[in-house]
Amino acid sequence: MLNDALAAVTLLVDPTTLVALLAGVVVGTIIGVLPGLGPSIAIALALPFTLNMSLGPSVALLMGLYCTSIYGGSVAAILLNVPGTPASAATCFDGYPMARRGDGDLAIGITTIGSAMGGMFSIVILAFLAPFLARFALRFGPLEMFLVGVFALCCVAIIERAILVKAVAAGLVGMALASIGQDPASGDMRLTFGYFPLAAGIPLVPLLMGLFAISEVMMRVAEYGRGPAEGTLARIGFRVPGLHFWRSAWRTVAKSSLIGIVLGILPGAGPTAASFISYSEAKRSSKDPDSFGKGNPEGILASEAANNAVTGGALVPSLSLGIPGDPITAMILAALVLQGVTPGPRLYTEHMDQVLLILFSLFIANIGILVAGGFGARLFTRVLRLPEPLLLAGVVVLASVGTFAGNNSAFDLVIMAAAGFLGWGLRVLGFPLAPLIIGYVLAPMVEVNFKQALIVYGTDPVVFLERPVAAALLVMILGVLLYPTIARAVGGMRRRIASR
Amino acid sequence: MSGEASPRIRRVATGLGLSAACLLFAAAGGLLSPGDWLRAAQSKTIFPVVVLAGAILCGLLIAAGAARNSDTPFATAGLLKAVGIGALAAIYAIALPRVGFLIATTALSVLLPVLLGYRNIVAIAAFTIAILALVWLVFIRLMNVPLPL
Amino acid sequence: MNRSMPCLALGALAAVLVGFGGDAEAQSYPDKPISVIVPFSPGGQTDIASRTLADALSEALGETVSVVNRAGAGGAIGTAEMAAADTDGYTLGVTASTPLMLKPFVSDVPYTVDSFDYVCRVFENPMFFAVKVDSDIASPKALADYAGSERLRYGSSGNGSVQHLAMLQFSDLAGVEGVHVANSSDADNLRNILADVITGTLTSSSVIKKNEDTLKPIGVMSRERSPIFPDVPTFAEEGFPVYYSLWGVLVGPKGMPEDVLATLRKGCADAQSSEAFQSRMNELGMVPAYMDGAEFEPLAKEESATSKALLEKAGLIQ
Repeated sequence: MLNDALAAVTLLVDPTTLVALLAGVVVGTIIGVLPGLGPSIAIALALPFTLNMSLGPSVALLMGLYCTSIYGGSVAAILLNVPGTPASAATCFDGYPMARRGDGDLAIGITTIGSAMGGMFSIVILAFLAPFLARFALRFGPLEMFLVGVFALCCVAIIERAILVKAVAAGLVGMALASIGQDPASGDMRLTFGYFPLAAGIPLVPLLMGLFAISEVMMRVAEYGRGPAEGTLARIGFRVPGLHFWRSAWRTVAKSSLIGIVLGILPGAGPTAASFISYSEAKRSSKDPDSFGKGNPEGILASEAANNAVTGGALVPSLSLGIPGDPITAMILAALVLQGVTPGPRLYTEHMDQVLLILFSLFIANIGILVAGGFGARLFTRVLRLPEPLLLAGVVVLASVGTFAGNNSAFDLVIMAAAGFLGWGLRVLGFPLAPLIIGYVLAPMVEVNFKQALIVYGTDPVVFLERPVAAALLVMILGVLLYPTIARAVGGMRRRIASR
Repeated sequence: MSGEASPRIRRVATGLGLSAACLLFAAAGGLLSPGDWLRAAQSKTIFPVVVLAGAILCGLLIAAGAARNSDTPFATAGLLKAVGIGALAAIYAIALPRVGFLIATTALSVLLPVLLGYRNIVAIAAFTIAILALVWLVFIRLMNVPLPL
Repeated sequence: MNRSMPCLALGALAAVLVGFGGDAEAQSYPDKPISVIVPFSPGGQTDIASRTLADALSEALGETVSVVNRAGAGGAIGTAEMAAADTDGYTLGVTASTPLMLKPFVSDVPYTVDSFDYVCRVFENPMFFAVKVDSDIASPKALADYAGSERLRYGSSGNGSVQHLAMLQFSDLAGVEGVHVANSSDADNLRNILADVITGTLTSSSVIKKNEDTLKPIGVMSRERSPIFPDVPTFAEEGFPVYYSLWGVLVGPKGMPEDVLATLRKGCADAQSSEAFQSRMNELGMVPAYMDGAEFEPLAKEESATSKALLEKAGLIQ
């Protein structure tokens, strides 16, 4: 083990490797911050470069890009209400209200620290428990994964309790949009409306940019010139809350990181589900749940620690079983295989140096998040001082160019424009957008696993007795759905006992 | 009419509108042939059918007043401005790959602020140059996006 | 070299757009970068093989050849784009068996096997049936026995995919019935194998090679045993004459100029015979299977007709 660690460190302190890591962190942060660009485009761009690099630099580059591009997505979520990836959608809930009231610097500070802590926490877990966790993940068959998806969707019930019916409707609309194109299980085409390019489905980035960026511009245009004219001057820079905050917040960080790791290990669920579940849990267990969604720093922390903890978790099945859980880790895995890394159980017994190289790179990249956040925050928060009309024009330009960059497709831009009007219409009528995006992201996973569970286990409910994990998930789903009723009943009972 | 009528009308319109939109989506997508989707759970259309049925139900619930407490005050002011700027953004997005990013972006970053009544010419010019430089540097130089100039 | 490639591509593109490109007709092909569409996401076997070919082809043609990923609809989106591209020879693509041979019959796609000019075959990976490494099943015969006594569940990459079709044919010959569990990616199928959701799946040698710790090949659907796993029997030698492979072919849209096609075919032959290409493919567990486009085209059409008949028989054509 010590020898392996030494070997990994030797590879890592090589100047080329360090330069690659630095490049990964800088480029990853920039890509993450820009609307429309995220981890998948960052890794896809880096893939051809790594072909001509040796192991150390290419691992460093990929890990640097991977976690900083996820982190960067949250900056846009906070400053502009435009999540860089669906994983940052839950960060908007509290990050954006904070930025609007002038606390953008604090929101960025919390995001940065939360991301780095979640990431580091997951690496420690990954270092010690990966093979064990990978075996645990295999207990999640189609039935369990279907239930995980349903569970994540049900968390909307806690997050948006005040407008439940509208939230559910938005979630279902998202799922309907996701089913355009093809049946994810059989590959059969459906809902193409007679237009072949729709067979590829509604792509994520144009949808996200339209729904959030363009609709945000439209919402703000409607308000522009009315209301308090630029009343609060946005603070610039990077602010971290004091110790008293962390005394209570560490629990949120720990819980969220755990949720992120578990969801990261499971295939197909990923950071979006993790940040939503973790956010709803933070809200549920908070003493003041009503402050969530109005700029509560713990909301940011919950979402951010969880979505960055996914990075470590997602590498578990990739490295120890050779099974990537999502397209991003699939690309990372392909790059590693081309470097001569053979993922699988033997990687941990015979090539611990390679595993440690990956972990160390990821760890340093998480420190890189702190540095990038610290230096970048001045620049990022300055955006808030731009005159509103210019800021809005900038959002339109960057969202459009970012959308085009993904596929070099003019059709994607049409989808973005249409999604902009859809998002704006829904917002004007009081529908929340976050459930829509989580419905869209989770729909394929829910559908595929439901169909496979039916094929494999049939319709006999006895299967829940044979599969304890599934039974536990079922109980959790009922718990989330019935939570308000249970909480009220328990509260009532307590009061009765107290009054006696 | 009492003051109560307006929110109720909007509620009913929203709910029924959602249901109608989902129904239209299903019809246009060819989901309304029962013979196809009643056959088995394996059918490729069963999932969207269930999802859309749920959304239609939600629409009816909203029309019946289920999400009453969420009714936000409806601002008609600014609506036209929002649609106008939204249309401008859409035109920009669709024009971008056709007329090239230099012309389209310059036009947008001048037009949008001016339409909103912003008249600081120096700021607009500086911003336009900055955003052109940013897009060129990051997207075209660094990422090799084949965006026509 | 790779770093300069996209820059070159951009420079040339810009030059052409601004009008400095000169008269393209006057110069000989190729005088600007060529892009190769890959109809799958980055990182898959077709993608990696195409990138390897693109590097070798750049060398052979003396022009930059870069890969563009256009994933979607099981490869149909990117393949449709290849068919619709300009016939000037600057937009090519590497398509694979399922989108080219089968998709036109099972889905409504805007191309057929006749929509292309064939440049050359790039790889042909024999298709193996893989099971969990500690499974008792060790040969196609044992698989048939297992299917007879227990419920055989097999993965594939979708309805009417090569894997699906091959398994239907095997089940038919063995007189057994298997349960088809479709999935969209190799990774999902692997997971299902390890989690005991499916018995096994048909997949390529390169995938098994990458996952040797967890997967075990038990039979190959080629005419002869594969040099990559020489101990693994063919399905035919145990009495199930099913022949399928997963191949990739470099194509352009139908109607490219004669001289362009000739240049490309020659370039492809040179590229594939290069040392660098051969050794890279070997490392990846892929079988370089050069075949000239002119030779491949009739084979493709023949396979397409056979596939159509099989799909019809299986009731998969709507």
